[in-house]
Amino acid sequence: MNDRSTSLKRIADSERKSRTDLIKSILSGAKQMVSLGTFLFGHPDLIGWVPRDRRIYLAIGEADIEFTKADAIADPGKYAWKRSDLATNAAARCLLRAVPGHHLKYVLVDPFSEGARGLLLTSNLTPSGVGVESLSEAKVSSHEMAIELTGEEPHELAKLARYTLFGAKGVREFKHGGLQPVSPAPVLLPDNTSLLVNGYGRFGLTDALLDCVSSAKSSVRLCTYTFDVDSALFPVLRKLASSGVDVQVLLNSSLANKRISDALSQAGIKVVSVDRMHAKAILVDDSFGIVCTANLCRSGLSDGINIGVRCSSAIPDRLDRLRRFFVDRS
Amino acid sequence: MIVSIEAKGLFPVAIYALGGDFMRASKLHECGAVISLIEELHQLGEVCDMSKVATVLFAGRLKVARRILQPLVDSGLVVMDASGGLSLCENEEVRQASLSLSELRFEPPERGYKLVLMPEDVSPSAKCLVSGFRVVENLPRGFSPDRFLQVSSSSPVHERISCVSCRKPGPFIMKTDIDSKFVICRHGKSNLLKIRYHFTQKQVNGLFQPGELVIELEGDDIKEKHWGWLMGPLEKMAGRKGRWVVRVSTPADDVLFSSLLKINGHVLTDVPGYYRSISSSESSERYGSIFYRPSGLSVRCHGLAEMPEDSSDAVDLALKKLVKDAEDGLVAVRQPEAYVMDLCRRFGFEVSPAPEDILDAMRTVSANVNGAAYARLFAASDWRLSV
Repeated sequence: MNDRSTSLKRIADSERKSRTDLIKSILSGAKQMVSLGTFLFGHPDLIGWVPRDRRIYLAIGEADIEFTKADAIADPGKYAWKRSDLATNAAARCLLRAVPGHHLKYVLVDPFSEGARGLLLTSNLTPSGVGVESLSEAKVSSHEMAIELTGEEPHELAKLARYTLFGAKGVREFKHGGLQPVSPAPVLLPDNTSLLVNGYGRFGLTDALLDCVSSAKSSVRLCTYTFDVDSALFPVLRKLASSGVDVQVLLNSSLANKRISDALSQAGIKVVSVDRMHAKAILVDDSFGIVCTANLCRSGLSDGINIGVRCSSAIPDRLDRLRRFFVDRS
Repeated sequence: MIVSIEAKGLFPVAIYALGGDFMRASKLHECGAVISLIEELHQLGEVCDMSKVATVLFAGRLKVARRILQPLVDSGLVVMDASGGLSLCENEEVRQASLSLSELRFEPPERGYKLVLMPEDVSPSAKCLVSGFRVVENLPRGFSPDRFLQVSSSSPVHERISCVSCRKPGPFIMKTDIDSKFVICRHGKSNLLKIRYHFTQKQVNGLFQPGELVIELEGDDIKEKHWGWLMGPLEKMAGRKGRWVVRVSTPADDVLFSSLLKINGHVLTDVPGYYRSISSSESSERYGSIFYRPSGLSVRCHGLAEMPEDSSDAVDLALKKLVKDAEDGLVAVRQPEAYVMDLCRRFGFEVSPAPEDILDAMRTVSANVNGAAYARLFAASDWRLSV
């Protein structure tokens, strides 16, 4: 491992610790209920951070139920524990539902009350993204982001979570030791939110990402877990690069990204390969951007349920975090 | 509150076993006819004797006439002189006493001194039903209430039973066709008869109101003579139809209703509309309620081991049931207050708890349930769901 890799790992470890502390702090402050969303669930301690008499609702991606051996080899940090057991244990502590296409990652606390708090995460609720009590078992950490939601955002995310948990079709619940189908309740999908939403026939997030990148005048910074030449963003980036805009892409080091990495390089785009890059974000002209749960590849932008939030000078802390994320890894 | 019960397969058995009672009813009509004839001839100054009765009323069958007259003579209502002449007792007290014994009464003179069945205040059908169930409890020839409770379309009962109409022994089969809601009776000598019936009765503040028994009969041989013992009284009571509605009035109805319940293995509790199981005193699910549905009357077990004594108790029990359902994964998304209100209504208590009160109470009773059940309980309120 070279110095840069060591440095990046240290950053990832450090950020995971602070992210974990933040999540712990938010969860422990829950007064009534906690809603958790993730694509993959495999965290042994997280549920225990919620005070005992609070209600917990956990939405996971349906794909989480059957993870492949290849996944485990590709990303051993996610699978340090047997996830099926964890899910079973979690089902005893919370209402756990598997939602088709669910790729949201969030932590919501008392979202319909005055003290609502929420985090948009790029990481799954797995040890690589959220630290565990026994550090010896948390072998690897990913590069992730956690954005604290402000204003109406927790409430808006709660409405989306409500739809995914109770209103969407095909949702199944862990009960009686297995996944049982549940009947959708008459819940409306929220409209016109400040959150950027993909899913259920809506592509607000994808449109916003394309608009945001297309408006770049001087620079674009982009990070993602997976990217490909079929992504709607690729031709936009290539065009920007050819017109002199400084484009830099931070990509997860993986064989899957090899082809796009080459294609980006050929287009004059600087590609930075980062081990365990899992954050998904863009920063345009160093002044605004988007952090989201969707990978920026074709399937990430067109399939599944994802959300994103805008970063701008209107929320300086959020914009600073985004800037710092790219600066630290460039 | 309106309560109802389905008598299942026992009522036709009761009718069958009670054929004698229906026949007795017919006999009473015949008695009425005899007394009317005696009175009519007396007014005309003519002598009435056994031979005349047999000739006028029973197609010359002296044995039948004697069988009908003998109880009337024994009770003192009809006086037979030394020459065999018949007259009615002049003593009003004796007449009333004998009438009450024989369940007959005089109609006013302007109606021809017709004798009719006992008045509506003790309905014959109610008496038949009650007696019928008593008969069922003591059925001879291998019948027992337990066996009848087990009767279904797949377990017909075969016994050698004397038909009450043709009086000949033969195999008797009774089965309940759940789909068509018919009870099918077949006797080797009397052929097939399908009986559909239901009994409804309102209960207000624990008191039973007049009930309604609807009997429908179907059968190829329904107009044959050997079903006359059943058809005759029904037609006399409710007209010549294929469907008879018989009013069952108080005060016999609480006895009747209790009998209906008892035969189904339940007894009424002190809480109106609420029953408990007789046989499963050790069971954890022994209480239920009786309630009305558009399709008829029904008894439902709540699956509760306790019974509420007042509305507060009912709310408490409903909450416990709610928690149990949530633990079983049944209540995922539902307004708890509506659920509690519905359950309380089944207990006979109308409560309108405020959502906040219900939530507070739920927190108390659900303190020890697991997280999934706990979340299910509060899903509606936590997520502002209106289901």
